[in-house]
Amino acid sequence: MDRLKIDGTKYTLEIDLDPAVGRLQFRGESYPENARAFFAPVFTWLDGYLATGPAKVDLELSLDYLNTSSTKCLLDILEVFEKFRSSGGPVNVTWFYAKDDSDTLLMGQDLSEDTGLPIQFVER
Amino acid sequence: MDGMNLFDQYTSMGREGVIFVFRGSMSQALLVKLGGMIREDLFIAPKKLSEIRGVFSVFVELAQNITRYSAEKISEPEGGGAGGSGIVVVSESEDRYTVASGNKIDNSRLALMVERLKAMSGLPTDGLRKLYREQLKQAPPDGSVGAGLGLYDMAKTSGGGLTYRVHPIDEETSFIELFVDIKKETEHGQA
Repeated sequence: MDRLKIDGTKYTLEIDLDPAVGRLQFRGESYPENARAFFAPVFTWLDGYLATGPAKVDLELSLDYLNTSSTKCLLDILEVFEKFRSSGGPVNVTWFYAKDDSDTLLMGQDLSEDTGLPIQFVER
Repeated sequence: MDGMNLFDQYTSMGREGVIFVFRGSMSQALLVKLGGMIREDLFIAPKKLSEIRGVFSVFVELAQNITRYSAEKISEPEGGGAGGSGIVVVSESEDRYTVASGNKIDNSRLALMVERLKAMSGLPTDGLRKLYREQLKQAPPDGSVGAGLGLYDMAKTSGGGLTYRVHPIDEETSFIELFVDIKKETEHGQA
């Protein structure tokens, strides 16, 4: 499994999915014209990676702003991890939010509740 | 220059509290630039994160609606992708910001939008939030059926301050105006 690294831009996330240490990081803002197309390689990579039965997965999300179609993609990504977790997969999800950014904290809490995936919230 | 009276436009926009106007061809490349400007330069201290986020996120959703759904398509927008013609206005009053957009729209798409807007009208803030979360879960993978999610998200962000107006043009087309209020936090509003 190759590492998937995508450089961030003003309107797309910085993504670093490193299978060697089981650390999957998403950082920044996302409001591309076509979110589904942007996240397509991520979904493909995750399917392949989670099928290898990793011993430990740390998902780290440090997000500032997502448009609605990106939020939909994120919900779908979290559902992939919830499926992995509920079938016994070891995954820790950490949601970093900026101090005083209650909107982003609330978004994470809603997504956790809506997917059933436990998320740890950490002020950064 | 006949017919263009900037003094009148300047005066009426001033009365409406207009602080930003764009009219023309909207594209992804342009909305990223304009959005950055709105977020970074339009707000006068004390800046409130949630107000800036609200205005910015509504601007992005409205501008992306124009690029996708304006009935006046732009064939080769800057940076490629979709593009469409429309107007976006940001105005400020004592207790709120209002982000508004206008564009021509196919009547078939308009009917879908109006149906959703009517379903949301009068709902309290927690009802709008619940509706958005349900729609987010139910949305098809491409996340975009006729600007569905964006409308629910903006209604939630504005806490019910989303209104609209339709101007019929002909059998196929209308012009739709959307107005989205972002309330100021109280101590800021009274300052």
